Amino acid sequence: MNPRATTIAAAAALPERRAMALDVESLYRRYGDMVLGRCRALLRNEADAQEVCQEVFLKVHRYRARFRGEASPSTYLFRVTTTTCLNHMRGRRRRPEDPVEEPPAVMVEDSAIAGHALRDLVGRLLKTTDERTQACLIYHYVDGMTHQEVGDLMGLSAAAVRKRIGKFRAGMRDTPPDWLKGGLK
Amino acid sequence: MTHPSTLTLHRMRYGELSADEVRDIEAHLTGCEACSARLQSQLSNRAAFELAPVPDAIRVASKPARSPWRLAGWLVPALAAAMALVVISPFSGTELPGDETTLVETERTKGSNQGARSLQIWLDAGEPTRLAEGASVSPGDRVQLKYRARPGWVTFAGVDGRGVVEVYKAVNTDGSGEWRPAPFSLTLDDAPGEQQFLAVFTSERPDRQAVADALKSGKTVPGLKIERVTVVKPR
Repeated sequence: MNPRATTIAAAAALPERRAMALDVESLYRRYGDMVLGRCRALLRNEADAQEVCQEVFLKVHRYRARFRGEASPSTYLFRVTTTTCLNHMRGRRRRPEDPVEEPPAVMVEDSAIAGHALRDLVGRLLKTTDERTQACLIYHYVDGMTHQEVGDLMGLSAAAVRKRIGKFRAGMRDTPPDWLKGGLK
Repeated sequence: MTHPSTLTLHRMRYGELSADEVRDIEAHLTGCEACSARLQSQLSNRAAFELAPVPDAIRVASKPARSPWRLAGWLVPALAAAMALVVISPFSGTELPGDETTLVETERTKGSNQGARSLQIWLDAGEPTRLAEGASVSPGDRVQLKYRARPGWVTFAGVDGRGVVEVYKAVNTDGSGEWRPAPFSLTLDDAPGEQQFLAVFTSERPDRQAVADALKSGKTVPGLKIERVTVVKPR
C-alpha cells in the first residue's frame, strides 16, 4: 500500500468532462506538472520546455470544445504534449542543454533499446523513422506503455503498433546504427 | 502486473483510475523500487510546480475576451487595412503528419501535370487535422499548408473574401514528390467568407510581383501552374 498515491488520487478526483471545461489557468494548475515534466523530459531544454508547455495549454484551451471526453483529460494532454514536443524538436533552433535530471528509467520487455539513455534515444529516433512510428516508439520505450496502451492512445490497433515497432526493430537489427551498442537480437 | 506506464502513474495521481486499478498499482509499487522512484519523481515535480507562478500567457488567456466592438475608434481603420492572414512565425515545429494516400480537391490550370503537384491545408488544433475543400474555419485558427512537387519552385499565396491577394513565400522544392510542410504557419484573421490558399508552381525562381499580378488578374499565365484549396469563415 502506498499512502501517498491514495491521498493524491482521492484529492484529485474530478469528473473528466468538467475538468476540460475549466478555464485555461485552472487546467494549467491541475495538469501543468505533467505537461511541463513531459516537455522537460523530451526537449531537455528549460526554455523550450516552458515555451512548449504554454503552447500546449493555449492550444487545448482554444480547441476545448472539440474535446469529446473519449479520453481522460490527462491522456488527451499527454498525447497533445508528445505531438507538440516532437514537432518542436523537428524545427527547433536551440540545442538540448541537458539541464534537467534524467527521468527514472522505464522498464519494458524489449530493453535493448529502452535501456539506452533517454537523452540520446529520443533525438536518435527522430532521425530514423516516420512521425507516427516515432510516437509509437517513444510511448513504448520511453513511457513503458504496452502495445495495446500505445494503440489506445494513438487510435491504432495493438497489432498495428506491434507491426510498426517490429519494423523499426528489424531495421535496427539488420543495419544497427553506431549508437545502438551490441545491436538487437 | 507489468510496470505501470508513465501516463498510468500520472492518471493515478489525478484520480482518473478505478479503485481496482489503483489497488493493483499500489501493490506493484510496494515491490518495485524503480516504479516507486518514478512516482516519487512525479510527486517531487508536482511539489515544485505548485510553488512556481502561473505564466502570464496562461493568466491572460483565462480572462474573458473583450468584444471587438469595444475597440477604440482609431484601431478600426488599422484593423480594416490589416492583411487577411498574418504570418506568425517561420516554420519551427509546426510540421504535421503526412497523408500519403489522398489528395484534396484542387483546381488545376490547363497543362498541369496531373498527380505530380498538389496542395493540402491542415488545422493545428491540438491534434493536426486535415481540412477538406470548403471546410469551415474560424478566426484565430492556425493552419499549415503542405505541398508536393517536382523540381522547381512553389510560391504560396492567399486570396481572402474581399479579394485581397497576398503572396507569402516562395520555396525551392526538393523535387522528391513527397509531402512537405510550407516553411511557415498562418493564423486566420476575421475577414469573413471564402479564403483561398494557392500554390503556384514554376520551373524557375518566380518574381513575387508577377505572381501577385497574375493572381489579381485571374488570367492564365503560361508557365504558371496553380493549385488551390478553399476554406470558409463565417460571415
